[in-house]
Amino acid sequence: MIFLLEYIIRRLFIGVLVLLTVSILLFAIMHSMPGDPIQLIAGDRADPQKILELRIKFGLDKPLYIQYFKWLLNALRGDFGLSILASQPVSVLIMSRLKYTLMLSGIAVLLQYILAIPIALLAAFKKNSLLDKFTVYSTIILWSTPQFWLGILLILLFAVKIPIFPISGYSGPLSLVLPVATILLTNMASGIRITRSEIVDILNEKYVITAYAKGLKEKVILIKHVLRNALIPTTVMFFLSIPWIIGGSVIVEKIFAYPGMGYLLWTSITKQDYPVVQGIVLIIALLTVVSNTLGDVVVAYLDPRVRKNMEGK
Amino acid sequence: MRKRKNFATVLAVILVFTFVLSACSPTTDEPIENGDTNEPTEEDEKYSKELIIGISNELQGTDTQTISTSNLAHILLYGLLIDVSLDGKEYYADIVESYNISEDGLKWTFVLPEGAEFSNGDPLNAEAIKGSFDRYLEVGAYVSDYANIKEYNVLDEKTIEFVLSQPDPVLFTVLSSIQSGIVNADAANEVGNDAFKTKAVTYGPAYVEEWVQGSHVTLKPNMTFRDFSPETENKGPLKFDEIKVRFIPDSFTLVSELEKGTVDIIDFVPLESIETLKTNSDIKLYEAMQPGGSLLYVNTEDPILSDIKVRQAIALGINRDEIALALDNYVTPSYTFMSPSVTSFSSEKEMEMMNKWSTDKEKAKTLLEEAGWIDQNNDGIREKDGEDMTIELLTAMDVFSIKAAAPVIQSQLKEIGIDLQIKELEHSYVKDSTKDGDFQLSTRSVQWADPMHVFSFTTDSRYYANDELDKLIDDSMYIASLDERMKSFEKVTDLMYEELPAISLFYEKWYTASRVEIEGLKLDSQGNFRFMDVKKLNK
Repeated sequence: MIFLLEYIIRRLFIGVLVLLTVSILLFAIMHSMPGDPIQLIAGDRADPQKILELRIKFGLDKPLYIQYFKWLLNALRGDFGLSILASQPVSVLIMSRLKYTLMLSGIAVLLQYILAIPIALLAAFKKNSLLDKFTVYSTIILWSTPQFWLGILLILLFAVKIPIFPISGYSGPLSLVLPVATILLTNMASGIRITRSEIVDILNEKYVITAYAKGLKEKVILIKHVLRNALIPTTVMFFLSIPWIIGGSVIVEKIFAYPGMGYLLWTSITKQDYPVVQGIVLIIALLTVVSNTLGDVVVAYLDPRVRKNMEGK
Repeated sequence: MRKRKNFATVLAVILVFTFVLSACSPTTDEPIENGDTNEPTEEDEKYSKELIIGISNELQGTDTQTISTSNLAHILLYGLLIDVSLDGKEYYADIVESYNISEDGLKWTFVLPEGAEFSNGDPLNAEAIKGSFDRYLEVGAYVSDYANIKEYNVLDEKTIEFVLSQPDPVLFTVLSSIQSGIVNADAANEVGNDAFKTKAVTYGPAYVEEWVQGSHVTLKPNMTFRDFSPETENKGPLKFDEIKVRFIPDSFTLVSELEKGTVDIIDFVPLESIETLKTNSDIKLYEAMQPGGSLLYVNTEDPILSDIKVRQAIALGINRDEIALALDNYVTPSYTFMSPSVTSFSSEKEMEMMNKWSTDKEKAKTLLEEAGWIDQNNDGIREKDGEDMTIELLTAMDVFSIKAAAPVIQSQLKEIGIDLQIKELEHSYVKDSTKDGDFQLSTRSVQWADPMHVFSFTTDSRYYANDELDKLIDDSMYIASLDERMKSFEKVTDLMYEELPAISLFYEKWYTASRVEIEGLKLDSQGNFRFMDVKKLNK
């Protein structure tokens, strides 16, 4: 197990370097974007003195490298600064949106895996059957469907023509159905396809044939030998999707006027609210590093070949 | 049987899981219960007490003294000392019983009504009005708008006098704009400016009850609010117990909510929905003109564009009617840099300039030839000293009309041999680049109801200087007589055409919409809603 601990420490160390690089790139990109957020909040005709006062208030009067180090030091303490647009601490803004995004993306991601795995297993087990063909073709269609288009279609069908669900906003559990369905249908398609093809490959592996030859029960073969190995790529995908559970789905939240992190990120980018964009993206980057490391650990647990690689064998 | 049982178990797990997550969710928006125990009147039964408005942008804040953009919610939150009439031709008292301007134009006196209170219960008196303007001078962005007011004198509890250093007709526009809305400065000092931004204490038809970031703001009526506008039947308070302003950024979603009837009023109708909504019998469409206009700025210091003949050729090469047609008449051609909703707009001058400067491609070609630009290699693009006539146009990607007009202008100028290269950027960047002279051509949209600001952007720049024009604009600004002022700005327009540092293109038509159940909603010439008479019929 020491090798695993060493591996985690090594990955986290690299993760810190990645985060530093991301923070520098992010800061540079945001500040080199055309336009001036201070001019944007002050307005076209703002007096120069007022512009200067606002620059000082948000620390934008200092050289860029000083702004960066100040921001980084504060970010390490969990203080992402003050939103230029809302004049509120970024952390307060993020926390006010987090519960909504956790609800939306959390339900969508969990349902995605709860539904995708049995569907993929069934399709692979009944390979070339009508069910399998239907699964394959429908996932191709859903995978290639843009989220904004599907969202609009669902609104038209189930909120306007057949008014069952609210069109937009959050006013209770029913408001979640259409945005969750939009995320779920498009994202689940990829999960089903990857898991299905993995299961199909594994079903043809010699150890599976051997298990059948040994007379093991089909259920045991499928769960213990097939599913455990087939879930490795799915597990990686799950851990990769964790940052976006927090980061939110920008397009879906905008279409459904859903008050989550994605909508906040979109507004902040379009209004050049540097501190908010930097705060959210840094959180997403941090979660990416952590969840990737966690994903690797879980994969190592599931796959002995990976463990051996880690040990250097 | 077993398979069916397994399936049922999985389904039950999903349902329970969804239910648990939903139960952990933030409180749902429960309908507001009316605490009024009185018997409902006939009017109560006929009209709804709740109004839902959909707006396309979230509020920048509720304190208009510290923000630069306002919307429908702010109109409901703020009362103004004076307001412009619906046709934009006169100014009258809004929240004050009366106002008077001395003959020399140097003393403006306002008389406040009895019993008016801010939303927190503090009295609205002369001292409070003074406090509101004093605070603006500390925290506001457009302090220079009030530079001519040298004193705010509290004459008594209900009377305040503004003493001006010189007559200032622009003050009408300034005082009737939302930035001059009255706030409770004492309340702002208590909580600090940043906190006040989220829940300002104001004197207006409504006040902020709750602001859910990214979702909506809930407003309640200020029961002491009185409106003295002669064009308003309901003198206050509002006819609603609650107004919810929802933030819906996607235009398709916004229009769908209105069509479904889950939103009563929307502040923006996208171009693609106008025709559909016109034919929908459940919807009322409102049209207004953009105050100001969209202009093509020309860098007079640029080697190609420093030649006046080239600038004239571009002005004549552009067909504004064609642009309007390409944009489904969402814009109206303009020749005097402003729409009729701007004070000092001259329809006579507009007609004169239209006759002189309507598209004339042959004349444009001749002018370019006279300037030495000739298509020698017959590739359709003119050359001079071996250089192609290639000009870059900076255009705003986030202003629909300007963005859509750019390729039309490109194609029109190609016909006279100019290779126009379009560069799309964010509007504020185009504005900064233009002001700094870092451009050749740029298109911008200017929104302000007074011509002074429409012109001053051109003259207050690094790419064009004309002392005569500056002086004429400054002089025009302080002319008290509206007729004389209009004549003076006509001269400004003449000078602009003599040198062409900017070319007038068009002004936008602004569309908003409501359900048919909404009665009494009025829109002034500049696109601002009037809410006091609004009622909502029960379906």
